[in-house]
Amino acid sequence: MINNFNYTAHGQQDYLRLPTVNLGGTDSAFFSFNVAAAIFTDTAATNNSWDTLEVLLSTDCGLSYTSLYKKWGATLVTHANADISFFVPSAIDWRKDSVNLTPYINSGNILLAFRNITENKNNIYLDDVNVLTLTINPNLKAAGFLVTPNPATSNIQVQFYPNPFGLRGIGCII
Amino acid sequence: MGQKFAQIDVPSSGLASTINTFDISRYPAGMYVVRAVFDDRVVIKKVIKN
Repeated sequence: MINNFNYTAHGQQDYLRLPTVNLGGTDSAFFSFNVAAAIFTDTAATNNSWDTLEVLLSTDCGLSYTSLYKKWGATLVTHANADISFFVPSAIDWRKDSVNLTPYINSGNILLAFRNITENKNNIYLDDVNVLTLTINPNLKAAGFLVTPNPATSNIQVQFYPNPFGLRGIGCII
Repeated sequence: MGQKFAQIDVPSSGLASTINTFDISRYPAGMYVVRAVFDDRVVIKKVIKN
């Protein structure tokens, strides 16, 4: 939990750095997390400043960062109404957000971090933080077209890699 | 032989799913052919139904 409600500084930046990961050998990767956030004043209020949540990625152990996700105000909140009390989320206040890490699968060790920039509004909660990877079946990558399982008893899956551009149709023939 | 019994048509947009599923549970055991027709080629794979 990021306690912006009681964090009276403005513009203060704090980092939650995660253990480094190496995505090498995978074909796609995503960073996902659940977030719950509320604000103190209406999102339509003008001349306001907002608590900001970012997801940052570093390929040089934190010397420099690239921002992959940045939300504040109406884009960040998950609690519908402005809340002038200390925000504690209920089950319906959570949202799953994700960031595509596929461009970084060949970047060696990467460091992911959350950055909170406080404006003393209300709390932000994070949970269920995961790095998800997908590895394509090497036989599918080599052939570009695969039918599995084989032999089969019920459903068969016809898979293409990459996307089957120019495909008109698929038929099963006895 | 050569009778098509299941067909997945591709939307007119030309965008197809990377994974397509056929239910062959109600068909007798034997060898079947899955045939994918592209603009410029046809590819086939044999599949055994137990």
